[in-house]
Amino acid sequence: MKKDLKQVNSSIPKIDGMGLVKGKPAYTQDLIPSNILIVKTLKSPHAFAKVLNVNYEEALKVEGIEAIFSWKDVPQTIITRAGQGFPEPSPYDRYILNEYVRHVGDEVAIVAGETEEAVEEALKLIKVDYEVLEAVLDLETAVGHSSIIHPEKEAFSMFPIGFDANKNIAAAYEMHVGDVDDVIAKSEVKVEGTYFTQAQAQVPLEPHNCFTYVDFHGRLNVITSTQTPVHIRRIMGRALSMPLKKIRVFKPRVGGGFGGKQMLHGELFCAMVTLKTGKAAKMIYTRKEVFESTCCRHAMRFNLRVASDKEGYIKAIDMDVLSDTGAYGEHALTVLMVAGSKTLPLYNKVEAVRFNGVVCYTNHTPAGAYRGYGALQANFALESLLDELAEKLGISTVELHKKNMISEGESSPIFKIMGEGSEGVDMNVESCKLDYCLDRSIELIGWENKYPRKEIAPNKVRGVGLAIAMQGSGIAHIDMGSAILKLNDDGFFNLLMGATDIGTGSDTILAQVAAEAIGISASDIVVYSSDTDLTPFDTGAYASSTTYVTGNAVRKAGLNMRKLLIETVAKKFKVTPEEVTFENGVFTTEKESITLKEFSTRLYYNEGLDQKQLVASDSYVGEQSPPPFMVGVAEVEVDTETGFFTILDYAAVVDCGTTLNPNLAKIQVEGGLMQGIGMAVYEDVVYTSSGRMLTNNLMTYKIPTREDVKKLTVEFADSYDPSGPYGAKSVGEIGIDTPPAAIANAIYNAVGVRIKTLPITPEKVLMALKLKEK
Amino acid sequence: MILINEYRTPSNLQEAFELLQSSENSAVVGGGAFLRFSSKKIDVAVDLSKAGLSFINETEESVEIGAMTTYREMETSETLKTLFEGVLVKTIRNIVGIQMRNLFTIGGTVYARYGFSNLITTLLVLDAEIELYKAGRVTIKEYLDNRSIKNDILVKVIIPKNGQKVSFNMMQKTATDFPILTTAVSNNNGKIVIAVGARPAVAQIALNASQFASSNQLTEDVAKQVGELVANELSFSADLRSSAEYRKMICSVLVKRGLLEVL
Amino acid sequence: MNIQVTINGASRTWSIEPHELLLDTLRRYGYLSVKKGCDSGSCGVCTVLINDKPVNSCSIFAAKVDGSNIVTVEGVQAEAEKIGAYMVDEGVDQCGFCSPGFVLTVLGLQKELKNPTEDDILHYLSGNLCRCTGYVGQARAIHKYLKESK
Repeated sequence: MKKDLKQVNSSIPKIDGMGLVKGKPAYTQDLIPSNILIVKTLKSPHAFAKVLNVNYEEALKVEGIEAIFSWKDVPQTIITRAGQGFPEPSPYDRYILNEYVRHVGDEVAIVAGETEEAVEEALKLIKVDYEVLEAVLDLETAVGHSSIIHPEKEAFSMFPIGFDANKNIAAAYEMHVGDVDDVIAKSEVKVEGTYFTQAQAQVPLEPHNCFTYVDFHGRLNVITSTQTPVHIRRIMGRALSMPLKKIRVFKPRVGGGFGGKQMLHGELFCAMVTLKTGKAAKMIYTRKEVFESTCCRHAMRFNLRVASDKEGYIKAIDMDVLSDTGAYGEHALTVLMVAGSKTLPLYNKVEAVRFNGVVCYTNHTPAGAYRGYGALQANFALESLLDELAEKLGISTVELHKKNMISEGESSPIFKIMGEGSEGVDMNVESCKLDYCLDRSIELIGWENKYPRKEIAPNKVRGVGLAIAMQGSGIAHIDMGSAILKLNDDGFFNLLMGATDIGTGSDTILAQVAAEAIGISASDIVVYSSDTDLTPFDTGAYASSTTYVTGNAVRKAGLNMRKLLIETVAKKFKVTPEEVTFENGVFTTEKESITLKEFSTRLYYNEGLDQKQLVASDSYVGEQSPPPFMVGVAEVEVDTETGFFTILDYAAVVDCGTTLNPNLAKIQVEGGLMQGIGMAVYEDVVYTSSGRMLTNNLMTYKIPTREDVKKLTVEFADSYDPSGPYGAKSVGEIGIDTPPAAIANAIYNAVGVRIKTLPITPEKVLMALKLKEK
Repeated sequence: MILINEYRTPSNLQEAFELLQSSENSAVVGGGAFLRFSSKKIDVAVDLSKAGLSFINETEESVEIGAMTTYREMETSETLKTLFEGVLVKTIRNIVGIQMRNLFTIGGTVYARYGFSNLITTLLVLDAEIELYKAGRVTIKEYLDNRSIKNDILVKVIIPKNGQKVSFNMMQKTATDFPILTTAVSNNNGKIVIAVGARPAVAQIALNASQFASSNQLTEDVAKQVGELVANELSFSADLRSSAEYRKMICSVLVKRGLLEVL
Repeated sequence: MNIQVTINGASRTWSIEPHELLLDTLRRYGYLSVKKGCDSGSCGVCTVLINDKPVNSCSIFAAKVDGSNIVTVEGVQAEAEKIGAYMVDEGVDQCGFCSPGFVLTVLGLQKELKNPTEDDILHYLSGNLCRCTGYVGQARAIHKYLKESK
C-alpha cells in the first residue's frame, strides 16, 4: 500500500515556507491598506458588572475620532462566538456588546479613529458607570452561586446540552456503561484521586487581528487571522442580521492558532465600524488583549476512581469532571465530552465506566478551543492515577498498560455513546500500534536502565515516567471538507480549499494528496485557501480534522480529476478510457501520446467546439474518527534541595497512520510536545482575588524557551488506516496530550512525590518533598 | 501608550542634566526598553546614548562601567569575562534574550533600583560605587537606602578590584524569565558579604549572617547554617513567581551553594 | 521629528513621532518582514539588526536609532534563502511568523560567535520564541547550516 506512494509519505518542503522565511507580506497585518480606521475597544476593569451608562460625548470630540459605540448602539442579537458547526453545541450567551460585562477585559465600547494616539485619548475620556456585581471566581463554588453570570433571559442552547444559566451551568453531561459503583465495590484493588488542570493560553505568536471594508458591490469583506472562515461568515451574518451573500471572509497566512483562532474575536467590532461609517477599519490585538479578551483552555477538576483485579486488569473507571468555561460557554460541552471520549476508550476492556461532568460559568476570561481540547486534561488525571495503580499492584506501568490498552481491531462502547456535543459513532479501531509505540518509546529513553530512578549526585535524582494517549481525526458525521481542482493551460492545477492552513503545513500535505490522486507532481499544484467567495465549504482547522477529513475530500477530488482527464483524452483520441494510461505527465494510448502540458493548452485553445474547462470536486464527511495514538516517556532530573527539575529527554512514538509528509508530521508532534511541556510545568493563567489577570503578557506568562528542553525524540509507528487518505490519520493535537502525566510520573519515580495540580513547579515539588520528610 | 513631546540626544552630560532639569515631566532614556511601558506624557526625553557613557575602563584599583554600557557589551567584554572569574557575565547572561541585552544598560537597572535586577545583587557584594552627576559618588548600598536621590543622572558604576572570590546564583522559571531569587556571595580574604535579590524586593545585604560567616571557618555545615541565617534575617514576600516561603527555602540553599563556591 | 538611517544599505530620512517605537516605524515604511508579536520584548519576532546587533524593534524608540545602520530580512534576501533552505528541509518553517526575526538573530550569531558550541547557539537564540516547532527541529536546521556554511 505505502510502497506505491509517490507524492505522499515524502518530506517535500512546505510550499509557503521559503516565502515566509524571507519575510514576504503574507499575514493579515501585512495586507492592511493605509489610511484605514484604527479600532480599539474599551475593556471592563471589573470581573462582573452591569453597565449603567456609557458617556462618550467628550471622547467623540477628540480630533480624528470617527465613531464610538456602546452596547446601546449595536444590534442585540444573541450569538455564540464558538466557531463550530451548526447548530452549535455551545450556548448562545453572547452579544457584540452587552449591558453586562462578565470578566476583566470584556468589551464595553468600540472606538474608531484615524490615529493610534487619538483612539487612545478617546478611550481615556469615555466615562462608564458600572454597578459592580459580586464576581464568581472559584470553580468549585460557581455552581449554584448566588451571583448569576448570565441572567439575560435570551440565553439558550440550540439543543439540550445541560445548559442551566440560573445555576451558572453552561453545559453538563453524564453517561455510564455497567454499574460502576458495584464493580468498584467488588474489585480487589482501588485507587482514587483529585486532579486539577489549569487554564493555559494558546499564545500564537501572531496576535489576533483583522480588517474590514465594504467593496464596490456593497459587500462586507472581512480579512482575518482565523481557523474557521465559514463559521465566521455564518456567525457574523446572524449577529449583524446580514444575508451571508453580503459577506466575504478571507484568511491570509495565519501565524499560529492552536484553537485560539477558532472563535470570533475582533471581526464583529471591526465590522460594526465599517458598516456604520462605510470606512475600512482594522483591529490589531495587543498581547494583553490576546490574553485577557480572547480565550484560553478550560481549567478542570477531576475526581477519578479506578479499580482492577489483583493481576492488574482494570475493571472500572469513574471520571467526574468540573470544568471552568469562564464568562461565556464557548466549547463548554464539547471540551468536557472529549475529556471522556478521547481517554476512556484507551481502556476498553473494563466492565463498567462512568463519566459525569459539569461545566460552570465563572468571571474568568472565557475558555475556548485549545489543542488537546479536554483530552489533555483528562489524560493527566487518568495516566497519573494509573501510575499509582501500577505501584499499588506492584507491577510496572508498562505491564499495566500492556494488559489494558486498546488494540488494533477492537472497539469501545464509548465511541458510540460519546461524540462531540452529541452521540458518537460506533467503530472498530482499524489501526492501532500502541504496543509498538510503548515498546519503542521506552527503548528510546533507555527505560530498562533508568526506571524508576537513578541518583546522579547527592541532591540530584533522575526518574522516568510515561503516559499513553489517543485523539481523533475530525468529528465523525459532522465535520465536512471539500476541494475543487481546476486544470489550467500549461498543465498545472489550482487546488481550492476551504481548509485553513494555520501554519501546520496543511496546504502542502493536501497538495501532495491531490498530486498523488491525479498522478502528477505536487509542484504542479497551486493551492488557494481560503476565501469564502472562492473556496468550497470546509468546517475549518480544528478537531484534528484537516489531514483526515479534508485529506479524504482532496483525494476524492483528485481521483475525479484523473478520471476526467483520462475520459477527455480518450474522447480526443477516440478510444475507451481503459485504453489510456497516464504516467509521468504523459497520456498514452496504443497509437498516440500527448503530454499533460500540451493536452491542457490544446484543450483551452485549439480544440474548437471540444474546448472546455476541466474542473473536479468532491467532499467528505468522516464516517468515523480514527484515533491517532502515542506513547510519551519523560526523563527528568530533580534537585532535591530546591525542587528544581529539568526535562532531560522526552521520547514519543506516534501512530498517526501514514505520515503524509514525515518532516511536517514530526514537527507537529515536537511542537505539540513542547506546548504539552509548557502546560505541564511552566504555563499558568493566574488571577488576583478580584479577577484581574496577572499573567497578561509574555513577561509573566512563560512559554518554554529553546534552552528549557533541549531534547525531544520523536518517531512514528509503521501504520496504515484503511479509512484515511493513503492511510493517514490526523496528527495536529495528539502530541500535546502526554507530557503532564508523563512528567508527573517521572518526578514521582525520581523523588516520590505526586503533584496532582498543574503546573508542576519546583515550588510544588519542594513543598511536597518537605511534607513527605515530616 | 507613552507620549513624548520632545526626544533629545545630548552630546555631553552637562547638557543632558540641564535638559533633565528643564521640565518637571522629563525622563532619562537609557535603553528605553522599560520606559516604553510607561503611560506617562513626557515632555522631554533625554537619551544618553551620545553622552559618552558607553565604556568599560580597567585601572589598577577598579573597573569602571559607563552607565550606557549594555548588558551584551558587558557580557562580551574581555575585562569582565575575567574579573572575579566572570561573575558579572554569569549574573546577566540569562536575562531575557540577546535582543534585549543589546538594549538594557547597567545604568538603567541600577538607577531604577529594580527588585528583579540580577546585577544589583552582585554589585552589592562587590561593594561597588556609583557616580551620579549631581549627587556624586555613593556606594550602591547607600543609593538603595537613600531614596531621596532622584532626577539625577547615573554616570558610571565603579567596581573595586580587591582580590575577591565571588559567586552568583539564581533560580528562574524558564531560561529567560525574571528571577525567582538571586543570591551573590563575596569572600574578600575571609570577609564574607552575602546579598539576596528578587525577594521580590530589591537586593539587600544580610549583614548579620555575613558577619557570622566572616567570623567562622567556612565548612559545609557552617555554609548550611549561614544559608539559614540569611533566610531568617531577610524578609521575603510572595508574587506571581513564588510564595514567600519558597523564596526563603531556596534562599538558604542558594546561599549555601554560593558560599561553597567562594571557599 | 526626523531621523536619518541606513536601512538595508540605503540612506533614508524618516519622519517619526518622538515616542514611536522602531517596529511601528519600520512597518509604516513598508518593512513588513518585521512582525509585531508580544509588545514586551519577550518573543523576538520583531528582531532587526542595528549596527549588526540583534535588537527587538518593539523595545526601542525610533528616535534612538538616528544615525544607525538597520537591517531587516528585506535587506538580506540571499542569506535568508540560504538559512531558509535548511529550515524548510527540516519542516521547521511552520506558521512562519517567527522566521524573519529568527533568521536575523542567526545572522547576528554568525557575525559574533566564531566557533559556537550547541549550548552557545541555543543561548544566543533563546530570545526568539517559537510556539509551533518545539525548537529542536530549528536546532537541527541551524547546526547544519552553521556547519556547512563555514
